[in-house]
Amino acid sequence: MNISLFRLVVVVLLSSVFVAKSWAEVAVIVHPSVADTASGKDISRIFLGKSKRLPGGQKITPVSLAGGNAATEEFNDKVLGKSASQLKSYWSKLIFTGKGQPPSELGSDADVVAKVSSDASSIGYVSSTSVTDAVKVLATF
Amino acid sequence: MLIKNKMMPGIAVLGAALALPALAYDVDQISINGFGSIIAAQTLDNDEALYGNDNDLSFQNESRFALQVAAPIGEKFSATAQILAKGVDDFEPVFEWAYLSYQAADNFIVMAGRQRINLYKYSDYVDVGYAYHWIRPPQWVYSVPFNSGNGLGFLYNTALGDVDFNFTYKFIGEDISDYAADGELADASLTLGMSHFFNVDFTWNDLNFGANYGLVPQFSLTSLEFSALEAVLPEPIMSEVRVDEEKITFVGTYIGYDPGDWFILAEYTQTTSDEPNALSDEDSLYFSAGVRINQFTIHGTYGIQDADPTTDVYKLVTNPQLQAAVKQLVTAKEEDSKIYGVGVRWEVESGIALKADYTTYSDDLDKTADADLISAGIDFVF
Repeated sequence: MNISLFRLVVVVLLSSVFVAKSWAEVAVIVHPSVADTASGKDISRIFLGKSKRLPGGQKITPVSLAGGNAATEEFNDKVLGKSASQLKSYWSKLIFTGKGQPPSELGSDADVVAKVSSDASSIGYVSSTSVTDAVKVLATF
Repeated sequence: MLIKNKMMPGIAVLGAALALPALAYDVDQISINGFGSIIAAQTLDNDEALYGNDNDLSFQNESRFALQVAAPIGEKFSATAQILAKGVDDFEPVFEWAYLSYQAADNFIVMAGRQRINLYKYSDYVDVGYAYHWIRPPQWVYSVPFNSGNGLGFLYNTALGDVDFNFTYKFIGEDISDYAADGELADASLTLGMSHFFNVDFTWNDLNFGANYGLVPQFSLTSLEFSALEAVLPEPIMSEVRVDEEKITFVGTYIGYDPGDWFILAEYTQTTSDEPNALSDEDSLYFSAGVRINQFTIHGTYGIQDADPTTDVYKLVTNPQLQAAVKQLVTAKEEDSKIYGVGVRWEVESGIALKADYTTYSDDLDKTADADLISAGIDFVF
């Protein structure tokens, strides 16, 4: 193997590691005015409709991210501990028995950042690379 | 079994709900969801029948389609209608749910109107095939002759440390004037007086367990068979045959453990009558377990059902023909059966699952009822 090909392989490998790393972090974001903190369990309860408040008592409404976004699968897996179809099955039990509706779904990280930065009672999740100064990171996973 | 409620034409109401923007209502608030199952099933032998299926392949018998519209009214109220069309009813749409709910507190909902009866673990969403691994939940548990009723429901949930606790109480009644009990009774009609149904449910990490209790103070069943006997049987005997304002108790308990890659699940239910009548007392039980490998779930289920008549009053009838007729009626549900099933579920994509399963049923008291059933289907939710 000549040197330039070897370099190319190394660069590709490194960049793929870098890309994987940048996808791997999901940030849970709230409005900068929110002073409360929350554990992974608290966040999971909020996104599964089991709780409507942050641990400090502030009323909060989750917004989720459409499937196909990198952060969605990460969040479902790391925070909720469910696959997309398990989550669908979970919500279908609640929707069709009058026990709850899933969080409304936004199309992109930018939409979630825009929603959370303009609404102090909303909580969302995005890839950590999409976080801006307009929102506060509550936790990363 | 077949329960019809012709409250009003479903489509018209859906149309009306969708036409709400004319009233300057913010249509974005309305949630529209649906589910359905297209199921094909047949028994393996031409003299076998099971769960409404026989040896002729049918795509209709267990298929169904439902549409639900939920519209918030102000901050705390919401109106929901769920319209279900079942193949067994020629897809005639009926309201399974139609209620107004009031979010009294973060964790407390009151529902008024038509709603499902929370008799057992899966009763609330027994038609939502996508929500469970089988093609159909164990029918020896989930074959009660009433699914929905009208009244009030109270739903409460809270966290007890790491344990999620749910409590449900429903005060519900129902009249079904054209109840068809698997074709066994002619012109049957069934009345469930206002009844009490309780459920407590605990979820602690991957462990879920709970219990159900149902008290039906007044359960009545009439049919041509009963009316015919009324005319000829003396009252002391007829009083033990008649199903008139009977007090019936339902008890159930379930436990499941599901860490994700595999699961186990068990449920036990018991139905008892306070006084002798033509109904049987039933005990039923199932165990189910499965493994999940990527998009596939492979599972097996074992169940038993034991149903004993609550009366042997037919022995006092001297006329042999009449005795046979009375015996037929009071032992109709008698059984001592075992059921084995294996199946597979494939997540085609989120919201769509393909399933196939095989069920074998044997009744120690009636070998002619033994049957093997193969089924395949597709379940979806949106």
